[in-house]
Amino acid sequence: MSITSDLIRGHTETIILANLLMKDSYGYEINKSIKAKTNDQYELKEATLYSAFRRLEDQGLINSYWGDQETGARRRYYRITGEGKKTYYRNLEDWLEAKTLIDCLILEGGSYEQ
Amino acid sequence: MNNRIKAYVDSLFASYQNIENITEIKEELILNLNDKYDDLCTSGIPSDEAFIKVISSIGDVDEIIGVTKTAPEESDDSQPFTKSNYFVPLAVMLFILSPVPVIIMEEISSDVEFIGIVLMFFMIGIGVFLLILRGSSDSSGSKKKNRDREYTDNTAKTSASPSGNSRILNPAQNAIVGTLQGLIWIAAVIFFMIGIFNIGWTVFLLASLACVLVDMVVKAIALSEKINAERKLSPYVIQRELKWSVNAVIWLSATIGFFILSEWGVNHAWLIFLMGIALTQIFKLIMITKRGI
Repeated sequence: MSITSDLIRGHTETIILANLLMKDSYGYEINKSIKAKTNDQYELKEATLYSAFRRLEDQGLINSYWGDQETGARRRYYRITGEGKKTYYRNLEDWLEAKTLIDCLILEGGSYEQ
Repeated sequence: MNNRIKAYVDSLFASYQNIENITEIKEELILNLNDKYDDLCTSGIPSDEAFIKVISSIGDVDEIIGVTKTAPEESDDSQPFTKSNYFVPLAVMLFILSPVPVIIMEEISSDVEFIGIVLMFFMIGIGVFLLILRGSSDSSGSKKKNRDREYTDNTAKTSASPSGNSRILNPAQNAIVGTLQGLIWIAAVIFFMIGIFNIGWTVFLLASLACVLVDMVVKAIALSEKINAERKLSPYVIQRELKWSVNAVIWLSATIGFFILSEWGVNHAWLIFLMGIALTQIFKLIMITKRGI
């Protein structure tokens, strides 16, 4: 699993962008959805999540605002920007291309058999 | 609210009190950790076990610290001073002092007058050399590499951003700047030789000013192109570039202004240097407040 984690780590920012594409969200909700999508197999460390938020904000790909929760606690929500959407689609394209190439290169016999 | 989580997070960040927005970072983290804790407890996990699970999910705090700026006044003082930072003021000083040997030698005897003139040109030469050195180390030298390294250090060890593209100019743009600046210097030498405009060696000061302006304009164009191309660029690099260009423009203008005013016989022409100091301070202030936001 540790190699898998390293592989996924490189895509942390794209994963976050993907989660914000449909709706604004906050840290824990994003992590919960990551966990649910991977059947509890993958989850981001809080520190990784926040450093990624800061980097994305610095690049203008997301922005944040303080939203009010029914419980009364102030919560920081993140929203994807237009630039963020563009970056997401470009990263997605890059990934699909890389995936196809790596499949060709490392699968035995060069063909994909399930 | 679980006080154990809050106390634990407080202790984690205890040594990072000078970090910008530290309270907000902690607030966000504590809130999310509490949500997680509550969810774990609801799913039937004993509270002690849930607490351990929650705090072990935090990971490496240095990751957060790495991408967060330190408080503005802190970072400004800790800016490293490299040798080339002194080149511009040193060059300006040489320009100002260059007539001194002429005056002294003239006083001594008319026989040694030429030594004063030779010394004057020598000083101007060194000044120009320093300015050129400053310009070239800026676009390709070690200083730039230091800046890049600084920025990569700031963006944490896990940073996915490639460090290579924090340069403002690509080699082709560098070549354009170099060519334009070369042309300016050749023109300056020609003007000086044929003694056109009656401005004498101050033409070299004008040439330096023109070089800095060319550098600024090309960088500004390159920067807007880069922003269009959505490439990531360190704000530190941009700020440093801007800082050195603006300072160079202020000081060169002040020096040129000084000579023009003295030529017109204006008393206390040196006051223009005080204005220069004031302007650089105002500019510094603007930069700091901008970074604070």
